[in-house]
Amino acid sequence: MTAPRKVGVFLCHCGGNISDVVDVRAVREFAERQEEVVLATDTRFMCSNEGVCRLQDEIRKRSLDGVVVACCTPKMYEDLFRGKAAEAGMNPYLLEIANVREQCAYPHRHEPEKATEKAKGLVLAQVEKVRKLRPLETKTAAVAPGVAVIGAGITGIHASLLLAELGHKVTLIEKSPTIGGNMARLVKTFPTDDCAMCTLSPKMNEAYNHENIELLTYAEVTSAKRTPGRFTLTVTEKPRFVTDACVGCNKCTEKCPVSTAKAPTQVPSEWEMGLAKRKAVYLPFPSALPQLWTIDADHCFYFQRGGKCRICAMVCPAKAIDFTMAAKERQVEVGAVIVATGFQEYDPAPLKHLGFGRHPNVVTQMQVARMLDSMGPTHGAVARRSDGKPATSVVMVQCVGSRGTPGDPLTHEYCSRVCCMVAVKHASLIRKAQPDTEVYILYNDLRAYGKGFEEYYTRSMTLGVKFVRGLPGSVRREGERLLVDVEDMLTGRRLEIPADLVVLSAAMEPPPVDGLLAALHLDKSPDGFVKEYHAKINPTETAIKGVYVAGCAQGPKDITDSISQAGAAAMSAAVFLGKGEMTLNPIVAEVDPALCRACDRCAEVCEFEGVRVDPERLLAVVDETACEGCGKCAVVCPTGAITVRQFRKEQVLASLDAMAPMAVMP
Amino acid sequence: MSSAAPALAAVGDALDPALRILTTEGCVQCNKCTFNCPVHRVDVTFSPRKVILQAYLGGGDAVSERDLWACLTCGECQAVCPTEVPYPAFIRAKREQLRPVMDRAAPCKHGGFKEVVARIQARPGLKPDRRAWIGEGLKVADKGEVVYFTGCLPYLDGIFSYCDSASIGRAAIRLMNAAGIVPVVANAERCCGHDSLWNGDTETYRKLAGANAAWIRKTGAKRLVTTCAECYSMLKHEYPKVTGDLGVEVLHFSELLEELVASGKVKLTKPVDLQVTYQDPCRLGRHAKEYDAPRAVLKAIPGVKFVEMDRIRENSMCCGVGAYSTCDAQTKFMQQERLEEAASKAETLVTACPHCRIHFSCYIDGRPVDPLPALKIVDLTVLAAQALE
Amino acid sequence: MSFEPAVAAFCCNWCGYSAADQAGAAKLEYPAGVRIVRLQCTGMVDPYFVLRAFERGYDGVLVVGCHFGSCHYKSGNHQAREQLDRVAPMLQALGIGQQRLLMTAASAAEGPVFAAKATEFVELVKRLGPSPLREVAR
Repeated sequence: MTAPRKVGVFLCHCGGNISDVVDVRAVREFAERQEEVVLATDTRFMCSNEGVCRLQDEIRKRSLDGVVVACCTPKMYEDLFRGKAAEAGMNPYLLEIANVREQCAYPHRHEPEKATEKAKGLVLAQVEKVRKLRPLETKTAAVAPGVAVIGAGITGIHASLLLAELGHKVTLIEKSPTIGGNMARLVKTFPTDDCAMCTLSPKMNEAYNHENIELLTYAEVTSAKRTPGRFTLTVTEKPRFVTDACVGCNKCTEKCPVSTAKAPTQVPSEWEMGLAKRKAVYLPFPSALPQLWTIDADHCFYFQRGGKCRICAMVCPAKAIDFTMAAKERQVEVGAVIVATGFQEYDPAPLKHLGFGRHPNVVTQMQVARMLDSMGPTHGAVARRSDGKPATSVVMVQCVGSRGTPGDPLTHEYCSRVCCMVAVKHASLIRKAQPDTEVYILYNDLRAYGKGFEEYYTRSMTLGVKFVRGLPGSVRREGERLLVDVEDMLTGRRLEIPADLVVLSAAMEPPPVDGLLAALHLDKSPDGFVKEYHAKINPTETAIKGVYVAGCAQGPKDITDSISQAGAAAMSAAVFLGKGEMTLNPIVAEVDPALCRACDRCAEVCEFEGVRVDPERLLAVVDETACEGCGKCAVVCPTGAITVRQFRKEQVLASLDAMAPMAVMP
Repeated sequence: MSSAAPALAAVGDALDPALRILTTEGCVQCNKCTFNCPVHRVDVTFSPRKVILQAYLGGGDAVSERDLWACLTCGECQAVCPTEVPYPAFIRAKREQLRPVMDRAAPCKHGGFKEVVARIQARPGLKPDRRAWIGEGLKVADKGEVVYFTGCLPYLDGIFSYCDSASIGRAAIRLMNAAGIVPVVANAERCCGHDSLWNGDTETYRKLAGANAAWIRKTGAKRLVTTCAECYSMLKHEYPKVTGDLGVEVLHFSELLEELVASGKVKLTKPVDLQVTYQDPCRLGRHAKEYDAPRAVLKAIPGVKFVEMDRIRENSMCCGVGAYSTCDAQTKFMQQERLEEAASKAETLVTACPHCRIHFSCYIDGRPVDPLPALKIVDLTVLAAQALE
Repeated sequence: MSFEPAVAAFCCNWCGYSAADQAGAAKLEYPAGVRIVRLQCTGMVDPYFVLRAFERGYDGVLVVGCHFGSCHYKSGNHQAREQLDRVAPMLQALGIGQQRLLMTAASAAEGPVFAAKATEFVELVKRLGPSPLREVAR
C-alpha cells in the first residue's frame, strides 16, 4: 500500500465573482473533511501574486503531492498554476482545477444554495481525481534536422528558400523534369500584368543554386516511414538517360524521329498544354531548371522498339546519351515535410455540351496562356487551332467544372477562386494585343476579391471586354465557326454568339497524388485537396505532426496566397525543427504491456498514427510525438491496456462517482 | 508469517471453510495441477501448487493479485489432482475474502462492464424489457411449463458487436416453438450472478439469486432451460445452496434438444454440410459434468461430420477467460493454442456457451499471434436450428 | 419537494466544455443538477461510464461534443455516436430507458446552445422521473 497523499485544496473568491454566490467557507470546511486532504484554504484572488505565493509556500511546507484549485475555468489558468506548482517542486500534473466560476457560480447565480452544494461536488470530484493521479514526466524527442519539400512550383520554391535562409537543409523533390510548376506557363500574372517568368525565374535560380537546397527532379516519393521526430522518405529518381556531359546543343531533339510529321508516335507537349508536340528527348521549356535533357522512355523508339533507334546518341557531340541509366532509389531522412504539389487543370471533355475534345477550337485558359506566350506554340497569337487563322471572336465560359451540383460525378462542388481573374486577364491581354478581336466573358458571378482585383476588372471593361451574365447551354459548330448559345440573364435575351475560339475557364483540381498522400497518411478534404488541420485557424498544418501543406495542394488559390501559405508552412516547419527537439505533451496514450493483447483495435481507430502494434514484441507501441490524446483507443481496447494519461478510467470515474447522487457526503 | 497452526486461526471466517476443505482433502504438492494449468503454459510464474503452499504458510494476504485474478477457475487442476483439491472453490473463497482490501475498482475492461450490469440488475425497482431482442415470428409467454432463462443475450451484442449472440436465443426459441413449446421469457429475469459469485461479490450474487428464485417459482413452470453453460451451472448447482430448491428441473439447451430430437418432437432434416469440432465449456463440462448431450445433438444434425479434438471432456482446454476476471497479454496465447487445435480438426468450432464463443471470436476478430487457418465459431443451438426445415 | 434530476454531462475539452464555460461567462443559466465531467474528446466516452453513471444514481447522461465534421480529433465524436448507439438498446433492455441518454453538440462559441440543450435535457429527465436506480443516499 502506498503512502497516503497530501492534497491541498485552494479556493478562490475571485473578488466576489465566486464568493457572492458560493459559500466559500462552507466549501472549505467540506473540503477539509475529505480523505487525504491535509489543507483547505481560501484566497481573494488565486491568480494574484498573493494567491500564487500561498500555493507555492504550502506545496513546499507540506510537501503536497496533489493540489486542487477551485477557481475559474482551467482554460484560463491551468497552465499557470501547473507551472507555479512545478517551480515549487511538485509534479505539475498532480494539479487539477475545479471550475466553480464559469460552471457553477455564474450559471447558478440565482440559486446560491444549489451552487454551494454543486461547488462541494465539483471540489470533491477533483480531489478524488487528484488522489488517483500519477506524476507525469515531460519528455522530449529529438527532431531530425532537415525538411523535405515535395513539389517545386512557386510554393515549394518559396518555402524552400525561406527555410534554406534560416539554415535548414532542404531536400526539394519535384516529379517533373523541371522546377517552376504551373506558374512558369502563365505568361502574365494578374492584377499587375507582370511577366510570370520574370518574377519566377530569379527564385528558380536561387533555389537551384542555394547551398542548403538539394534539388531532386524527375523524382517521386514512393513511400514514407515515420518514427518519433523523423520521416524517412523513399525517393525514386527516374533515369533521364542523359548524363552531365550534356552541353545543351539541342541536336538530339532536332534529330529525334518521334513526333515528326510522318512519325507513328506523336507526343503532345505537357508544357504547351497539348497545343504542340514534343520529341522523346526534350527539354521541357527553354529556361527549364535544371537544364538537363530527358528521354521519355515511354515514347522513345530505342526503348519501345528493341534498341533499333540510336539517332540522338549518334549525333550527340558530347556523348551524353546513356541508355543504360537505371532508376535510383534513395532514403531521405528529415524532421518535417511540406507538401506543395500544386494543381492540375480540370479536363472539360466530359461536359459534352461544351465541345471540348470534339471541336479543336474549344480550348482552356491554360492553353490560351500558352498561345499568349510569344515563345509559345502560336508565337503570341490567339488564333483558331483548326486552321491557324486569327480569332476575331473569343468567347470565354466561366465555372467549367467548378460550382457544380452536389453529387454530380462530372464536376466539382467548389469554386476554383482564380478563374474569374484569369479570364479577365486573358481577355484584357487579347483586347490589347488584338484590338479587332471581340472578347466575351460568360459568367455567373464575377469574383474579384483580392488587392487590385476590382480595379483590374473595371479596367478590362474600358478595354472593351464584353461581360454576359449567363452560362451557355451549348457550343455547336456552325460552318467554320462555333456558335455559343446562352441566355443573357440581365436582359433576358437569348444570344447566339459566333466564336472562332471558345475558352473554357476550367477548374483547378488536385493532381494525382493519392500515392504520396497514402505514404504520408494524409487525408483529403471532401473537395479532394489535402486536408489541413483546421480550415480557418490552421490552414498549413495537417493532422500529422511535422507534415505541412501549402499552396494549391491545399485548395484553389492564386500566386499571392500560395506564397503567403508557403511562408506560413515554412515558419511552422522552422518552429517545429527549431530547437532540435520537441517537448512531448505527456497527456497522451500509454500501454500497459501486461495487458496488451496486440489485437490491433487501437491502431485501427487511431487517425494520427499514434499507436501501432509491433509484430515482433506483440505489443502496441505509442508514438508520443504523434498521439493527440483523444482516447478513442482506450474505449475499443478489450483489456484496458491502453489508456490516456490524466484521463485513465479510474481517474475519470473518481470524478463521476464523487458527484453522483449516491455519493456519501459527510 | 508464522507456522501453519496459528495461521489457520489468524485467517478470517470466510476462508476457514475453504482451508478446511483443503486440509481434509489434502494437497500433496505433486505439481500435476501446475503442469496441466493453461495459464501456467503461457506464464510460468503462475502455479496453483505454489499458491496453495503460500496459503498454508502465509495466511490470508499471501495470495498475490495476479494469482488471485488470473486463475480461469476452469478446474483442469482439480480434474487431474490425485486428491481432488478444489482449487477453483478455494480461489473463489479467497476472492470473496480479499476483495474488500484490494483496490480493484474495475477488473478487466469487459469484467467491469459485466459487473456494473449485474450490480444494476441486483437493484429493485427496475422494469427491464427483456424481449425486444427476440424480434418477429417467435412465440414466448408469461406463464408456461418451460422457462427459457436468457442470461446476457439481451445486451451482449452492444459490447461484443462482432458476435451476434442474440441469434443463439432466437435459434433456441425457434427450436422450442417447432417442438410445440412456447417458453416463458420473463422481464423479471436478472443476471444469474455467475460472475458476481466467482469474482467474490457475494452480496450482489445473493440479491440476484433471490430475485431470480422468486420469479421462477411464480411461473409455475416444471422445467427451466438455458443456452448458457454458466447460467446452467449456477441455476442447477449453486442456487440451491442459497435459495433452496427452485422447484424446476434445470436443463442445458443441449439436454432439452437431445430429448426433443430423440422423441421426434423436433425434426432436424435439412442437411448442414460442415465438418465441425466441439469445445466442452468449463461450466458445462468439468463443473457440471455434462459431456454427452451436446455430442448427441451434433450427431443428430444431418450432414455434420463431427471430429473430436484431442483434449476433450474433462481434459478440455478453457477458452482463456474465466468469469471475465482477467484478460491480458497472456490470454491470447492460450486462445491461439486452443484454436490451432480446433482448426487442425475442422473449419467450424461449435461452442455450447455464448462466452466461449465471444472469447474465441474476440481473438479472431483481433489479430492472431500466428497464422490461423480460417475457423468459424458457431453456437450449437444455432447450428441445430439450421437443420430445421 | 420536487425532483431535481442529477445529470452527468461528459463534455469534450474543445467544444462541449468550452461551450459550458461560455454559457457561464455570458451569464446564462441552466439547472445546477448538471455535473460536468471533462474529457479530451467525446470519443473517450466508454459505454461503461454511462452504465456506471446510472448505477451511481444519476438520472440522465448527456454527452456534449463538437459538431460532426469539426471534431478536434477528426472523428472522435463519430466513435462516440457509434458507442452510444450500442448502449442505448442496453439501457432499454435493463429497464433504465434509452431516453435518459442523449448526445448533442455545442461548439466553443455556442454557449447559448449548451445552456439551452442542458436545460431541455434536464426538463426531459424531470418528466421521466427519478431513475429507477435512485436510492436514498446511504
